[in-house]
Amino acid sequence: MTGSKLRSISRVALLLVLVCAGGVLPVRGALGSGGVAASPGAGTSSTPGGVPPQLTAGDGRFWAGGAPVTLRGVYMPVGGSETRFDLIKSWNMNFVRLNWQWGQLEPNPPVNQGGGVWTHTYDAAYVARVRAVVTAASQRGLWVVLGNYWDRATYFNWPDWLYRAPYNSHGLTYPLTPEGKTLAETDYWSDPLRQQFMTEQLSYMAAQLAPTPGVSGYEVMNEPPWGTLPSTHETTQLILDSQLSAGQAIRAADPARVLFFMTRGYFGLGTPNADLSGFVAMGNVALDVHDYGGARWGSGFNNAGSSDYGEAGQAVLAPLNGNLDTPNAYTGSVASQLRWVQALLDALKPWGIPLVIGEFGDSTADPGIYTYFGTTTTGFNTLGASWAALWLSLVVDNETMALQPWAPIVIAAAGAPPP
Amino acid sequence: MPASFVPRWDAAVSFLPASGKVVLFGGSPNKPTETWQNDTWIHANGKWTKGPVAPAGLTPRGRPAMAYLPEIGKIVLFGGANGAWPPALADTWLFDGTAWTLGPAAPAGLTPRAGAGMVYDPDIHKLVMVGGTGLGSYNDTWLFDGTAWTPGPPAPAGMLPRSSFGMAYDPSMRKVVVAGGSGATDVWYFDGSAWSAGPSIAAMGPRERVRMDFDPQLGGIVMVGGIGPGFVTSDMWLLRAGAWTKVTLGTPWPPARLDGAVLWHPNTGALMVVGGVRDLGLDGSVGLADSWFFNEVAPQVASVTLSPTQPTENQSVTLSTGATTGGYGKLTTRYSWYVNGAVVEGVGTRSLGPQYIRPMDTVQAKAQITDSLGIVGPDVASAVITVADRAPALGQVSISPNPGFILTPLVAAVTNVRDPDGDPVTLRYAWTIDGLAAGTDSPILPPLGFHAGAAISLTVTPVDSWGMAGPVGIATDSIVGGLTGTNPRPGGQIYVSGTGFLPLEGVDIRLDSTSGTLIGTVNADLLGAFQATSFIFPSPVAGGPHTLYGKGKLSGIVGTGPITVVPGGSILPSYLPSGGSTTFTGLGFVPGEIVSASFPGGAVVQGPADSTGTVSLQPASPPEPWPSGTLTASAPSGTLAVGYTVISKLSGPTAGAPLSPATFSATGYGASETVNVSFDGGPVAGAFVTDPKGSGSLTLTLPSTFGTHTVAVKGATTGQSVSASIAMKATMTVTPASGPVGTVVTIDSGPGWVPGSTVHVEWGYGNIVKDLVADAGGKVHTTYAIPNTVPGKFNLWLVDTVLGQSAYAPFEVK
Repeated sequence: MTGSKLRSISRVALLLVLVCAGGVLPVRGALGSGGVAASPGAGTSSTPGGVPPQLTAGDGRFWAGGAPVTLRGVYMPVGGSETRFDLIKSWNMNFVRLNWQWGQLEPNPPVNQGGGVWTHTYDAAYVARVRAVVTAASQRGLWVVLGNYWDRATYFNWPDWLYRAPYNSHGLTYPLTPEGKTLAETDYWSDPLRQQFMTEQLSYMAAQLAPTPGVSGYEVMNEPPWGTLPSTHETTQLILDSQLSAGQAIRAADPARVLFFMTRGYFGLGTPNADLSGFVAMGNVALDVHDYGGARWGSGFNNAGSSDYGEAGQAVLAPLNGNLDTPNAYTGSVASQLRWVQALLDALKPWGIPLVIGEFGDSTADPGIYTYFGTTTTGFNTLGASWAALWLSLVVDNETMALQPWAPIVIAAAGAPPP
Repeated sequence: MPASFVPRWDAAVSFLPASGKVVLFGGSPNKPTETWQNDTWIHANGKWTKGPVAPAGLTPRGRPAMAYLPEIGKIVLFGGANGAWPPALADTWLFDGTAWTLGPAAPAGLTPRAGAGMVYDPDIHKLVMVGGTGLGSYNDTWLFDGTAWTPGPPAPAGMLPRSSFGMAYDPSMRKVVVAGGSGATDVWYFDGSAWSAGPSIAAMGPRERVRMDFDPQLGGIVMVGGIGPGFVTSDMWLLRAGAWTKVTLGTPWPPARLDGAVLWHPNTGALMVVGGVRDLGLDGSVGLADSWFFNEVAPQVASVTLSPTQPTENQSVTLSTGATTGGYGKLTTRYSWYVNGAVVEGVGTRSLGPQYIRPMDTVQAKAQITDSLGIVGPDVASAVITVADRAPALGQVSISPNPGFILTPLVAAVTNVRDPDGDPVTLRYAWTIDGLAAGTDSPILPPLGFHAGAAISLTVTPVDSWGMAGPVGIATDSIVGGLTGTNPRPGGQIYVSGTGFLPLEGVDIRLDSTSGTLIGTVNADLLGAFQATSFIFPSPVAGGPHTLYGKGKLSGIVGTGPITVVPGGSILPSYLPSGGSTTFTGLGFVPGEIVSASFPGGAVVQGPADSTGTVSLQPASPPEPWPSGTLTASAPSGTLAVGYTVISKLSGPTAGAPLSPATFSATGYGASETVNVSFDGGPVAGAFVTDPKGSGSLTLTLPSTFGTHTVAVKGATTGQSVSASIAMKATMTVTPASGPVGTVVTIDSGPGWVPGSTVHVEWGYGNIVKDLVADAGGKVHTTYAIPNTVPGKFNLWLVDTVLGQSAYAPFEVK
């Protein structure tokens, strides 16, 4: 199930802002270091202005300056006005997720030097743009997480040169067809070369941003697609292990920042069964899931008792989002949102890994969008989960930033006291 | 449903009994281009039509709770969701089949919600509403009596919040049942006052977006469709008797769906499934507008036929069934067999093995079908058949020894006894002797009633264990050997002859048994026979039939022969005068029989024969002419005559006075014989002629002198003579017989003295005081003065020295 693949992030014009690097703050939680009380806004849903204390993750929560914090914010494209951050700050939000795009960073293929050595040509301007946006956000007191997002300007979401024969271990030039794309997604998990390239660009990114203040964390991979691999724990674990490996490279490049990872797809598939011990050992990690579930029933996973409980999402699941090709109407409920989040929290509790719902949003054409944002935010807040709403669901567009009628629901939720 | 019906999520459906209508209200959009609904659809007479337009307040909504409340005769609708946030629908609406009207306001605690379950609980006469989701996820209970909502009992621990779940009232349990919608498998019962845990739906797994209702045909609550675990399902589950069972899907079958309404449609007599959302495209965008009915008809076969119709006990009986009608899903047929009306335990197949049947048993089979829903059809019974029994048979029947012997048991032998069914065979034996039934039902015939020449017949009938008789076998035999004896009198002679013994062997002849009284021993000749041989028959022996037993001393062969012991007898004495009695001793009479004995013309005397056949009687002989007669003894068993000799007899006075008349009678003389009478050997003093009985009498004058005289009578013809004595004692008189001394007494005596002889008078014996001379008439007469003496009694004597006769008379001196 790859419903999130259909979402149209590519429609968003990206505004890349380069931000200068800042210092590394001590963290607590999984990293275990004593905390300097994060300021401002630690322990609340909002932060005052100024770069907030370094975010850390541990004991099942996010921490800043030694105090637990709940992240409430938006996920938005890098491109766009800095006033967006003022706006969301005015909504009492403290968190923004930005998309980092490999396709933008490395538009040209690397050069093989032999012996497994490749020479990459990264776009320093792109890095600078990202750094600037991070700085703009963090300086407004927002915790900023950079996610390794797809580039919808490419066919395969990652740089298209990866899908030519010289640049993948399968030696394939994948056709520009849905089948070819699916095959490429499938092969990725058995493609050391592509994974090597992925890790190298992530490591590069982290190294470039490590000096930048305000980077709260990096996310290894957005909504990892699994192609035609079976929707099983083994697949989930394969993906997790790959992310762990890449994450370790990130951590090596920038030890202070929280490492965010996903399981499989967007919905946290496989979380209840996943072996997260590697991430626990790494420490200062958090799980990101994206809520585009219909929430018409249950937890969104196949029910407990199902042989693939936790590994597969329920059918009739995707009701919404900014993709008009999934013409569903949201009629979900708080009950189901609660159950989904609770299921994830229950799964993560033994690992001590905190959860963030890093994306949730709906198609503006959905007659149930009010209910969607009402039930999601009610569910998240009820259980104290951190979240980031889809910016483009709350505003008419990324330029005017006019609020959608239902945005007050999210804004109200952002300002609601923590449970 | 009509084309104008927009397929939807979250429609509420309920049955309105009064009008027999199914009412569907509202629903949620499938697509972004759609919206929430507040239309009413009514199913009646097999079709859906659009109902009344909702009033202004009854805004579009999905997932309202809806159920019929008999107390007000209306459908009650509560809440729902309409896409707005925060949830605000907590209104109650009532529908009477014609129009919606606003119901009472919800109390403060009854928060807006959608996806609550609601059902009527007849035990408390209220609607029970539970769960739902609004600003939160709920597990609270609310009751509605038609007038107001009141809080129900709190949810117990473990009763999870739920929404869009199955809820129905089970009249068999008298409980409301809640299942699904919680993400878990917990099921809950509500008894009108409290919730309690019910049977888990673990077998189906967590089930969401599902509905259910009580199906009276199935006797349980039926859950149809829903999702979980995994995918949308078309499953149907039945909660009955406290357990969930999965119903096998039939063909056709409603496609998998969520949110399909499930309700029992009383007018149709079927479970109705309406609408919902399909699982196509995994996005829930395809709504359903179909209606399905599930009507259970109890399954049954048209007929049950048994084959063969006349089985033997060695055959299996197989049933075949006619066409099956009704039923649902996998049909399980329970075959039951009845033998003689009793069920055969443990046999549930289409065949009844031979081990269960026996000849003459009645066999019947029944087939009863239970379908996958547990609906049990009627028992369809076959015709009753009867197990046949084939007759047994036998080969040859023989008797040994053949010929047989008198006292040797006969033994039957039968060959090749068989029964086609393998039944145990009993041989029944019927013996006859000379055509008469004999013996018992035994292969051995005891030698009872055997006799030489007896014809023995044996009929053997084979009978199987079920009473079936086969063709009989017949054998014959004859009895050889035996004794022939004359009918003896006890103590008399008997002549016995015999056959059938070994040559030259000695044969003991005994009476009535081989160990009875030995009559004698005789040697068989070279042919094993012996001729009539005389033996003295034992005495006493009871009269009547007896059997002679001859037993070969070497061979042991026993031969018998019947004899009849006849009466015999004797008298003692056997010489009898007229009037004389004798003792008759009878032998050989039948014990107990009355034996009569009498002389000719004499009195009959009777007496019973004792156990030995002996009787002793004392008959008296009447006058009979000389020389003899016959005594007759008779009894039912026979009559016999015993001869005796007549003794002549003289009867007359034994004393008399001289010259006085005396009559003499005589018997035992010849008939009409002249009989002469004489005294003292003198001449015939008289004669008479006897009568025909040989008797007669004569009166004569006695002799003239005192003393004893002999009178003799003698037949002139027969010469029989009998004599007797007659005494004529001297007598005297003294007159007076007393007086003082000196009294002169007169003494007279005679006739009787010898005339002229001297007769002494004595005073006291030997004291002759006077002599007298008898006169011619033989008389004496004198007087005598009593001498001086002392008073007392004294005798006066007359003494004749010639005759030696004397007489005396007393005198008392005073």
